[in-house]
Amino acid sequence: MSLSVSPSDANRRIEALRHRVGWICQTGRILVAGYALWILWLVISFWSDASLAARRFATLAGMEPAEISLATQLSGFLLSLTTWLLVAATCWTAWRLFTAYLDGRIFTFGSADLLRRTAMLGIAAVVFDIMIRPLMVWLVTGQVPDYAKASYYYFSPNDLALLIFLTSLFAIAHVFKVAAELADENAEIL
Amino acid sequence: MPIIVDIDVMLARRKMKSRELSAHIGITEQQISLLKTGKIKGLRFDTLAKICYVLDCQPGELIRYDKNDADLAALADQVSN
Repeated sequence: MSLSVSPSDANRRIEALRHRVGWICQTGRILVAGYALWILWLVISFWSDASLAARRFATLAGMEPAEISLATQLSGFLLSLTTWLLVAATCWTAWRLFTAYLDGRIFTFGSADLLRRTAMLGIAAVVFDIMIRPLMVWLVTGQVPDYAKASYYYFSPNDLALLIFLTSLFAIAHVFKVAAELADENAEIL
Repeated sequence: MPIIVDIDVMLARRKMKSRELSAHIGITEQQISLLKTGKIKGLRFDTLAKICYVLDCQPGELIRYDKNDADLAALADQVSN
């Protein structure tokens, strides 16, 4: 007697899995949408207050805060917005992934690809954000604080934790791709 | 594929359509079609048992082996590797 699962059993299991993760995926969708909007609000509110931006970066540079020009404000905003666009792309891809899971498209090539893209976009967003931090400080203050003073800002344990998480997600995406291949092969056995 | 599934013959004998068979055994008509044309990689015993039950036949009446020199050569290659 074959030990493999019949198509109707496999479909029932996928359906049961879909019901089990349903609330997780719905919550996930709300959280990623909320996160993207929250970050956008933070970016806009931060850069719309020139004195706040000046004070924040001056502290990092160990200087007295000075007024910043509109051009500097706009440049800083555009740099932060670029980071936000990467964050938004990550959140949008994650939304699509949760939607795919809700539709029952769990062990498919499409879902594995969405997971991989979520991880890659997330890594890109984190790396870009880390890279532009010294640039932001220089833009606002005209100085680049030495690494010893601002290392907690340039690269923090939270950044490393995020990168570890996203890299793990990237690895899991490859595992899921193989799972999708196995599911495809299994579908060819009646 | 050297394994041939003669399900059409049995369906004709039992005066049954593919759609009815697919409804009885819980697989789609498309899968029945793939079965008829030999485009599947395998057949589970429980699916075979259901087909035999519905068509009231033995597995030997549905499945036959078509000996083919090319397939034998491919099998010999696999065994030697």
